[in-house]
Amino acid sequence: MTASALSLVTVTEAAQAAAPLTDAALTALRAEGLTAFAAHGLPTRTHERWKYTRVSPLAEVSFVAAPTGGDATAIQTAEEQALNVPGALRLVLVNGRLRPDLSDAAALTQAGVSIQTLSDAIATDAAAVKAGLGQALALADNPFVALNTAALSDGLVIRVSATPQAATPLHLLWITDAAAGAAVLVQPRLLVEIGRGAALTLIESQVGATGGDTGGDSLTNRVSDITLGDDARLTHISLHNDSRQARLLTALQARIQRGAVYDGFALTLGGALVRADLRVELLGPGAEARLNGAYAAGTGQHVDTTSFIDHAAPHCTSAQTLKGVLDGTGRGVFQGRVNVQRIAQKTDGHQLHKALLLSRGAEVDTKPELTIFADDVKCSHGAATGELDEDALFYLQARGLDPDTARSLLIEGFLDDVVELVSDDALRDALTAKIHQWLESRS
Amino acid sequence: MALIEIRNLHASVDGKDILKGVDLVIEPGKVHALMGPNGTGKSTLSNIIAGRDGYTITDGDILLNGQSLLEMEPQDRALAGIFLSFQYPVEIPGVATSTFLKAAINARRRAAGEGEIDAMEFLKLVKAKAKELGVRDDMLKRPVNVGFSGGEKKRAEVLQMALMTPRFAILDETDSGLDIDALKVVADGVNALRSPDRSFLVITHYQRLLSYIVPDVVHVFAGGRIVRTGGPELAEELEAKGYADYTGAAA
Ligand SMILES: Nc1ncnc2c1ncn2[C@@H]1O[C@H](COP(=O)(O)OP(=O)(O)OP(=O)(O)O)[C@@H](O)[C@H]1O
Ligand SMILES: [Mg+2]
Repeated sequence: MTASALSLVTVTEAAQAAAPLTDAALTALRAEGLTAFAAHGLPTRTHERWKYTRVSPLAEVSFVAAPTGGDATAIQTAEEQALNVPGALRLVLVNGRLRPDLSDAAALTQAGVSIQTLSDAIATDAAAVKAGLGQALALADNPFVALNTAALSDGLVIRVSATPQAATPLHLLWITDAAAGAAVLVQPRLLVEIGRGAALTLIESQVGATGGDTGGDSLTNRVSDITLGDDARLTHISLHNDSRQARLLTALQARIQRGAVYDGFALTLGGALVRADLRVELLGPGAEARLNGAYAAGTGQHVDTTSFIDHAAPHCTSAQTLKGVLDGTGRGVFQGRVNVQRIAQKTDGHQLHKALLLSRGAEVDTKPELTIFADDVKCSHGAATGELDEDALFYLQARGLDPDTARSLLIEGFLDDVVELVSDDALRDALTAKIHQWLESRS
Repeated sequence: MALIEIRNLHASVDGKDILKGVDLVIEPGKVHALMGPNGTGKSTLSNIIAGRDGYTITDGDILLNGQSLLEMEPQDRALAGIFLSFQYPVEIPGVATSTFLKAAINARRRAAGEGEIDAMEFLKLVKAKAKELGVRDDMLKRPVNVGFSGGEKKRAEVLQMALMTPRFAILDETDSGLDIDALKVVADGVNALRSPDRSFLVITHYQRLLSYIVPDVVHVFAGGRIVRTGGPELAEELEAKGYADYTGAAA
C-alpha cells in the first residue's frame, strides 16, 4: 500500500470497527474492498480512467470521521443550495446518515416503496443487499468503489414494486456538514431496485451545510447501485452543488434489464472536485439509458464525468449529451466509452460533449471512445469546444442588451438547452432555476 | 433636422475597402429604399450603423438627430432608437424567444428609468403583436430563431421591431424568404409603424416589396456608395433594366 492513502484507510477501518456487520459474507466483502484499495492506493494519472483528474492531493489531507451534524441553520443553508421540487417527498441524509426527524414521514410509508437505512436492510436481509451491490464492477477497477465497499454501513436502500398508483417522487438531500478546520470523510452507499414494470422519479441534491464559499474540507465518496427490472423506469435527477471546498466522488453502477429505461440528468455547479463515474450495463433487448447533464466550473473547480456504457443486448439505446461552461481556471473532463458487444445488433448509441470556454485559463479535456463488435449498429460521438458566439452577442446588443446581460443570457441558454432533454416540466424548471441562481451569484 | 445623416462614410474590413463615401440624409417620417447588386456593401452599411465591430471607419460620420453614433456601443444605439432587421437573423439555442423579447423590452424600460414589465402585460403585448404579424404562439416558446423557417425568421424580426418602437429602422432584405401572403402581412406591419417621427431604410432586391411599402426615395447602391437617387419610379426602372448601368463592366 502507498503510505499516501493512509488517512483514508485509517478512517475507513475505524468506520468498520464502529459498525461491525453480523453477516459473514458482507464482512468479507468489506475486507476485500479494503484490501483492493490498499493494494492499489490512490489512482494516478497513468490509470486510464483517471488520466485527467488528479486525486493525489487527497494524500496530503488528514481525514476524520464525519460528525453527526445537521443543526437547524445547517439544514436551512443546505436547502437553499438544493433543487426545489414541490411535491417530492424528502429524505434528508446528513453526512451519509438518514435523519428521519428531518425527513418527510410519508416517504417512508408509500405503498410499493420500501425505504430502509443500509444497516437496517443488512440486518433484515444481508443476502439481498449483497445481491444489489454491483457485482459487475471489480473492486480493483475503481479504488474509490473499493474504499466505499470497505466502509459499508451508512446509506439507503430503496426498493420499488409496481403498484396501480405511481410512486411520488423522492428527493434525497445529501448534506455534507463539515466542521471548519477538519476534513471529513463521508462514504454512503445507495441501493435502488426498481422491480419489473415499476417506476420511480428519484431526485438527489448533494449540498453543503455552510453554503457556497465557506465550509471545511470534505470528501464524499458515494456509490449508487441501481437495478432496473424488465420494463422498469427510473427518472434520476442529480444536483451537485456542494460548498467550495468540497470534493465529491460519485460512482453509479446501473444494471438495466429488458425494456427498462434509465433516464438520468446531472447538473453540477458547486464543489472543488466533482467526479462522476458512470457505469451502465444494458442487459436486455430494448433497454435504454440516458446520461445527460450540464456543468459549470470556475476557478478552483474541476468537474469530471467518466462513463462506460456497455451494450450487452440487441436493440438497446444509449444517449449522453453533456454541456459544460468553463470560466476562470475551471477545468472540465469528459471521458466517455461506449462498448457494443458482438450480440448487441441494432444498437443506437450517441455521445456528445459541448464545452463553452469563457476564459483563457479554462480548460477542457474530452475523450469519447467507441468500441464496436457488432456490425449492424448506429453509433456516433462528438465533442465541440467553443467560445461565446460573437454574432449572437451582437444580435442581443443590437436589441438593447448590455454585454453582461447578453453574455449571461447566452451562457444560461447554452446550459438550458441541454436541460430541455428532461421531459418533466417541474424537474426541468427546478434545474433551470438552479442554473439561473448560479448565474446570478457569479455576477 | 434630418433624423439620420450619413456623411462621406468610408469603411474597410481586413484592409479591404467596402464603403467608399456613403452620403445619405433621411428626414423624419420618410421611407428610403436601398437597392443594388450583391456584395456591394448594403449589409455592411447596416451593420456599421447598428454598431457591429470588426469594421474600420476610415472617414466620415453617422449622425442620429445630429449626434454622432460612431463612439456608441451597439446597445446604446439600440436604446437611442436604431433598429436593424437582420438579413440573416442569428439562432440562439436555449434562449426562449419570449425570454429574449422580455429582456429586450426591459433593457429599454430600464434605460427610460421605468421598472420591469409586468408578466401579464408582457404576454398581452407580445401576443397581440405576434398575432398581427402571423407569429404563432409556439414560436415564442421556442429558442430564438432556432428551427424557424426563413420566412418565420423575418416575421420574428418585424415582431421585434414592432415591440422596440425604434426611431430609425433598417430592414435588410426582410422580404427575402417571405411567401407572397407573408410579404403582405409583413409590409402591413411595417406600414402600421410608419409615423411622422419614425424613418426607415428598406434594403431589397425586389420592386414587389416597394409596391406594398411605398418609399419616398429610392437609392441605387453600387461599388460601396450611393450612385443614384430618385423616386419610387426608379425601382421600376431597375426591375426592368437591372444594374448594368451602374456596375461599370456590364455583367
Ligand atoms: N467580415 C468580412 N470580411 C471580409 N469581407 C467581408 C466581410 N464582411 C463583408 N465582406 C465583403 O464585403 C462586401 C460587401 O458585403 P455586404 O454583405 O455588405 O454586401 P451586400 O450589398 O449586403 O450584398 P447582398 O445583396 O448579397 O446582401 C462583400 O464582398 C463581402 O464579401
Ligand atoms: Mg446584404
